[in-house]
Amino acid sequence: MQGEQDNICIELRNLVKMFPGVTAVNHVNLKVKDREVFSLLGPSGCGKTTILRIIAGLETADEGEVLIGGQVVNEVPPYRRDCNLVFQNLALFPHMTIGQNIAYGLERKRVAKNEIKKRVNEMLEFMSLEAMKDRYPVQLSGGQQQRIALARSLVLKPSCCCWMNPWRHWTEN
Amino acid sequence: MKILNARRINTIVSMIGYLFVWAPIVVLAIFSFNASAYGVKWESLTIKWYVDLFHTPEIMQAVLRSLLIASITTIFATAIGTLAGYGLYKYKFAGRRFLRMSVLLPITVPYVIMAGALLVYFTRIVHIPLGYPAIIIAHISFSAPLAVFVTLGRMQRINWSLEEASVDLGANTLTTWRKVTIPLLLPAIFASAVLIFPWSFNDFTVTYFVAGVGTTTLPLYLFSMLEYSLKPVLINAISLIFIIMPILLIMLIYLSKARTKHGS
Amino acid sequence: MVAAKNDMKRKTHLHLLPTVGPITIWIFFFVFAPVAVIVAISFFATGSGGEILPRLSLENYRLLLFGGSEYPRAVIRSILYALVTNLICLGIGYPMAFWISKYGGKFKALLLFLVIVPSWSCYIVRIYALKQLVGYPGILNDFLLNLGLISSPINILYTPAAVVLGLIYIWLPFMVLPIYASLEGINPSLLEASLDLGATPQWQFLTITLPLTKGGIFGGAILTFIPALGDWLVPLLIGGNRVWMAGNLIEHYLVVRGKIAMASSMAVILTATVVLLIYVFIKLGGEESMERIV
Repeated sequence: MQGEQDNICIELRNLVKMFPGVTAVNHVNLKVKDREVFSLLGPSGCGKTTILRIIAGLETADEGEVLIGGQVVNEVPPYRRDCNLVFQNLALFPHMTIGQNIAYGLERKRVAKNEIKKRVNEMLEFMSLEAMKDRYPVQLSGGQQQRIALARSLVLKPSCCCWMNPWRHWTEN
Repeated sequence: MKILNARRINTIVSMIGYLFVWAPIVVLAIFSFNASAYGVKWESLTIKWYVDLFHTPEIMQAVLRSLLIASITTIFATAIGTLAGYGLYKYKFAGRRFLRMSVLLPITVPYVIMAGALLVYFTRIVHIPLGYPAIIIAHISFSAPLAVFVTLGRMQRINWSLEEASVDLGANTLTTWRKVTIPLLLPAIFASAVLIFPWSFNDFTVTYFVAGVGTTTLPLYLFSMLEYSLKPVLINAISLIFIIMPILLIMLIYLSKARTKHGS
Repeated sequence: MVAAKNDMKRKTHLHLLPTVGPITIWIFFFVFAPVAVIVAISFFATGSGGEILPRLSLENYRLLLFGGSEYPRAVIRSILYALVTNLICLGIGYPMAFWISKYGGKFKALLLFLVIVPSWSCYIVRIYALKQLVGYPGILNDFLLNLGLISSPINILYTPAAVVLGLIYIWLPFMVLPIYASLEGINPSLLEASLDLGATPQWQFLTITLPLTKGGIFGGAILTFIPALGDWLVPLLIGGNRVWMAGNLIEHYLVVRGKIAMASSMAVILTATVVLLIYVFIKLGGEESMERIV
């Protein structure tokens, strides 16, 4: 997060992904700098989501390289990548409270208990959703759910955060 | 590496599960072609037990009885159950939830109890003669719920706008039923029948309690053979009938699925 | 508005009669009535010859529960067997459901069918098949003896272990189905999200998959527990009348000895036990476990 302005955060080199019958991603090259907000636009079905999923490690590229923070991560499993997604359908865990949802990633990183608590509370405050901590995702509006999904990713302080279709739930708020 | 191990353990346990479920009946099927009359040692290949089977009139009668009971049960239970499933899904009415739970009752109470209760009820209270009437009534009580829940499950996947369109276009209720609703329900009816027929054909416990004397179905006959250790090899041969039947039914389901897929 | 609503209501009533009417009548006469009858009979006194006397009494229950009868022990034994069966079914059934759901690919339906098909076969045949395979004289014993792997035959028939083995064999498929359904019901993006947030596959399983399939697990537990608890054929055919479960006593009193009132009391006690245990399962497993059954 403290990196210099022109540090390259994500880089894709010659990325190719094919599904049976379609080439979803065809030789894509791109560089995203630290602290840069980068948008992929295009009609639905053109492969934006696939690119994000490859960056996160949920799909494997057929050709080309994915670099996060200057390291090739093609072989790195998603749970060791310093990159988090906000899913199109948000994918909040329905059996966990909002607080537990946000703490989920931190618990894996062996962060101390009170540190987790502190960071979750900070995040909730930042999203102005403190009151929702002990509620379950279904009890929240679409806009609130989206903020929780974002909070869940940001609380891990990843070097990059990919957000699928960010405006989808926006209209409700 | 660790993932691979977890996956491998998962695969091994699953294979053990499949082996456990299948090994006994496959071995039994193979041994029904064994020439040795008593036993577990393999001698040589023969089909003479099957020939014997067809020349044992009691067995053939038992098969016919079972087929008759299963057919009548299937027709009535499927009809009652499908109608109920349709009504429970389509209409909101007082006691709907209660009815849904009640339908579950015969299949949630242990069979011995429900079957025993029917026996007492038939002999002491309503005087329904044991034998065919009692068996068929009891079978319908147990298998109609299956049709209800199969239908309820299927209803959600049916596009009901067709039925509404038919009513909108001025078709009367009966015409709508005949031309639209029943064709829409056909997969559910078929699935229920495929489930109920083998249930009724195979049932032992319920039949045992209410059969009385003289209405020996195939499972009852099999049981008496086991009890008195009669002709064990014939038992193997009969068993194969019970094993082949579900496999035939599954082929039927597969074929019908392939056909509906082809149709759409 | 009101007229239209009334019209709708009348129409609904008109449709209810031919649709849910028959089953309502059927259930009333051939499910509720028989159950009510045995509950009633269980409160009548029994004569010395087993006949029902026209006098209300709790005598049957007193005899069964405190009269040194073997019934309480049989019920406890049944519960124990059913619980062990349940746990082992879960231990095999969950991995099977998980494996089919995760690695089944386009053969999922077929693999699931392969689990269910044997349960469509006749109950007696299946127990007999198991007995032929693992009993003595039996095919497995014969095979192992011939190979010299064992020097004397292993006979597990007529033991509690054999009864439990039989119960697992019969009821395993009913554990796999609801668990499979709940596994398939998990939104795949939840699993991806957990990986993305740093969960290893093992951690993901423990924190996401397992809690989200709780309903399926308890649904399966109910589906295998009730029939296993009330089973009487497995103990009869594999247990060889030496290990009696509650169902055997009910059958024995009702059919063999004709002591209807006593058998009815036994049935009521067993049903009460079942209902109580199902209630506990549903409390533990949540609403979903009920939905997974139906």
